[in-house]
Amino acid sequence: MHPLQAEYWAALESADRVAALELVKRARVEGTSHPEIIDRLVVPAQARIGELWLSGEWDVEREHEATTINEGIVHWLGSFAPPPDPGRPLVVVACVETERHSLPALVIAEGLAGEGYRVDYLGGDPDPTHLVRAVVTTRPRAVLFSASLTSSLAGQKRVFAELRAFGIPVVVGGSAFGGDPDRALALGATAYAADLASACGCSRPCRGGSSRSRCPSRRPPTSRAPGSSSSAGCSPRAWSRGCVTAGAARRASRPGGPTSWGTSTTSWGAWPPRW
Amino acid sequence: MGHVDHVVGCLAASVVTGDETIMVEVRDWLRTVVGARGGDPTQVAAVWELLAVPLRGHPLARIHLATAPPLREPSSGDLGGDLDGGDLDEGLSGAAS
Repeated sequence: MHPLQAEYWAALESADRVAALELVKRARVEGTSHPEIIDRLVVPAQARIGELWLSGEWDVEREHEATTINEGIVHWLGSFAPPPDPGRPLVVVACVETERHSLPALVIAEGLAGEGYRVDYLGGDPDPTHLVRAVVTTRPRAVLFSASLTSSLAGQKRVFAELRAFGIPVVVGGSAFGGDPDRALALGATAYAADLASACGCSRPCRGGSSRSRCPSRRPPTSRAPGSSSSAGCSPRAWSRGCVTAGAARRASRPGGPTSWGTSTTSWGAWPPRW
Repeated sequence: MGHVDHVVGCLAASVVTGDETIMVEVRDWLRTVVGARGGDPTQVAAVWELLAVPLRGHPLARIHLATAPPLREPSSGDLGGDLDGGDLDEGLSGAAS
């Protein structure tokens, strides 16, 4: 384990929010980018938190304390993002109904914001009626749902269908989907995204989409807040590499079709579910 | 959410998505959770038996439940439950017919 990771883990282990924040501040001043901090500190630590809960070494309270610190760090890093350009595409990011493990959705939301999207982040367990009403009003480029607990999946067909009936793509990700697009597509999602790069690809319009809703180009480095440089993933090839749509899944099932996807960082749901 | 609620939710997800591996995942997960907290993992069989009772008349759900047999240890004795192999087989054949 890298010394920085060990130090960060020690802070979480002792539920020391101040120490965790000081360490992240230091890493940021030393030039570590925000995606790197999330990828190398927050996400691996959260995976370990989940493992310790599963093994019974940590109780729920301890796990929640550490998770809350992790979430606070991601919020804090996100606070440095410049104000969103009103001309850029809007995406909505939320957990599915009943899903309260919001850190994966938060990481994806901040990642998309870093890639230039305007992001409405609705957090955990949104009311589906209110969500659909809000989405129909704001007309985002896509709605991205995160699910960690498989038990949250069964009730999602209706809201996915409602959103798609309004012409709004539904992109899903998270450990509940089992690492491939099968469950997502069975529930009626437009696409499954394994990671941030895939989510960026899935949130682009199809070829021939209007210029108004085109995927934002990367911001020039001068417009970035310190430490907010992009992760490596959101390339123009991300669609074919990481995002699996219903049509692509059908093609993949044919002989000679693509068989793998999801190769980049910032995994969406890399840790076991927690309670 | 309690653990049993989670199992029931996973059964619903398994049926809705048609992905029976969900039940294998949740069975293994529950055995790990119970075992790590000093319980007897083989008692997961009792949960499966209890779940099977209200699923009479729901053959598809019983098929998904039967996809992940609860791995009861032979020495644990017969709990006289609803998920003995014959009963599940009955559910499977009933669903297929």
